[in-house]
Amino acid sequence: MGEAAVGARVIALVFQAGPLFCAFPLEEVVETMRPLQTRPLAGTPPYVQGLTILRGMPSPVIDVTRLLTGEVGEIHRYVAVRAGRGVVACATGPVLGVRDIDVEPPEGPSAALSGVVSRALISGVGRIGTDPLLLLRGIRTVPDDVWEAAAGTGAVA
Amino acid sequence: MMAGHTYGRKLAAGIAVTVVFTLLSIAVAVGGLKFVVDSKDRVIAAATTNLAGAEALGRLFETRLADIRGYLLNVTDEYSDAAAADRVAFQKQVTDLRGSLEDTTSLATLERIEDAEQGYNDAISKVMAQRGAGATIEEIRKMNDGQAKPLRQTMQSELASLIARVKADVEGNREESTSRAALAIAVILGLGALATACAVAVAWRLSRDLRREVGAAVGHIQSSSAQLEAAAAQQVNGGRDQASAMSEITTTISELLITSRQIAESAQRVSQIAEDTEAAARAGDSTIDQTRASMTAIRTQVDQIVQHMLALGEKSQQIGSVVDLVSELAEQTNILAINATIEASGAGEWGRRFAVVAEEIRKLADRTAASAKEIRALIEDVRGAVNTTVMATEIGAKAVDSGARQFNEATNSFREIVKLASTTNDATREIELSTKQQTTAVEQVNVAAGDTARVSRETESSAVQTKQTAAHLTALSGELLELVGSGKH
Repeated sequence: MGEAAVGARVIALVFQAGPLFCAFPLEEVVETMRPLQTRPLAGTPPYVQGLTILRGMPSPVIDVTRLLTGEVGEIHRYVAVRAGRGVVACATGPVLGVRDIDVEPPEGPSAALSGVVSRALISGVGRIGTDPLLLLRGIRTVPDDVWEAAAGTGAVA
Repeated sequence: MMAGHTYGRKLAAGIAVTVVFTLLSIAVAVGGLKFVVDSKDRVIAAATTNLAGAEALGRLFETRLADIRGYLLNVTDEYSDAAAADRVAFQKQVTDLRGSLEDTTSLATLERIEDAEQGYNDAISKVMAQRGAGATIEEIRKMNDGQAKPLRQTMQSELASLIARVKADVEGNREESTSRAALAIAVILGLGALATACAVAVAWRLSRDLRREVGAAVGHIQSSSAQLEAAAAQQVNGGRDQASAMSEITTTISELLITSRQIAESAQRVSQIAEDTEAAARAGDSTIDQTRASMTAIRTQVDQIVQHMLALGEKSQQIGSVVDLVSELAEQTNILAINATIEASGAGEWGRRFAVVAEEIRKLADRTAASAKEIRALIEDVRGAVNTTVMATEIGAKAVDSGARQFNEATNSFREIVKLASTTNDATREIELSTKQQTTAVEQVNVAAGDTARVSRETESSAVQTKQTAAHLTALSGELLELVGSGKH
């Protein structure tokens, strides 16, 4: 997943995560789907819902709403995104579609987002209508032990 | 002998004895008087007829002698005819005496007088014939003295003897009559004395019994009169109280009569109202039947509404299923369109065009989903409305059933009311009739109470009079006790 260029126009999949409008760069998105059966995993962070099967492969499920806001939101879709070694299922709200969006890096006016989370997740900030829009990076915040657990489960499977 | 008999019977017996003796005395007195009268009649008859007849014979004979002497002196036919008439009268008197005389001696003397008169008539006829032939007075006197005079003296002597005999006979009859009268007087006096003695005995006995029995009875009467007077006094007070009470009763009954008339009028009005109520109730009965039919129709309509609503609910559910399917398809289309867009974005220029088409498909899918969602919401609204309607209709049906039951109960109650109204009407009529009868009875009672009050006043006055009479009777009893000799002072 590359960094968003300043004033770049990006094609992204726009969705809602609780009260937030978010977007994934389209090149990181694999597909969208309805929420699948998810098995919870012990010892994982709260935003990790568990494991599900995507295209025959076990994949972790990350609750984007909880990840970004810390709140529990309603899950409408799973968005499969590429995340380095595999595919991650992101549990989101309604998927609004593929849009061309104008984003800026989270510097400057968006310096307030320059926290630990924003640096790992948000690659740019734009708007959709009158609402702010967060362009998310690829899911790199997934801990390694999650992937390992996922790999272990897949090996067992 | 009279013990045990009542005083009245004793009095009657005593009076009867006295009357018997009195009647006996009267009968004896009448008999004696008749006996004396007969005797005296005979005496008077002898004195008037026989003695007068005998003396009439002498007088007629003297009259004839005077006529004969007149003829002998005057020689006229007047004297001779008078002498002849005198002889005829003399002979008739002799005949009458013969019929009336009863004494044989007197009859014998009368026979002799008749013979002597015949002899003297023969002699004097000769003398009168000589005088008629012209003989002188002297010659006539000699002839008379020689022939007629002895016969005339004999006849005069017989006539005197007859008169004396008749007088003696009359005197004898008078004495006999006197002695009979004396006997009758004695007998009457005896009977009178006997009757007097009997009356005295009866009076004594009656007086004794009167003092003994009547006195006791009068004493009882006196005490009873006193008690009667006291009772009459109580009766006066009671009658006065009764009269005042009856006056109050009459006043009360008059008020009761007014009240009864008012009740009768009210009962009549109530009867009229009850009749109106009964008529209205009967009219309401038909209305109830119509209402029941209407309620049955409403119940049927409500059932049909429920059925239609349930059918509508089922149809809505089917539409919902279809809408769900459409929504599902729209969602799937949305996902597929997004995924197609994602896939197309990596396929160069042709991919971009396909992405545009896929985006349009996604929008259509979104619109379809939105429409399906709206339809779903509408269907939910319809189902909710249907459910609400069904529930409301069920409630309405239950309400109709409850209303029908309540209406039946009301109908039963109403019919009971109708029956009761009819019964009330009958009862009211009976009350009206009874009240009228009561009014009539109260009027009669009022009249009777008035009569009773009047009778009470009359009773009071009668009691006063009774009291006065009892007091007077007490006084009379005292006087009667004084009269019968048993008075106690």
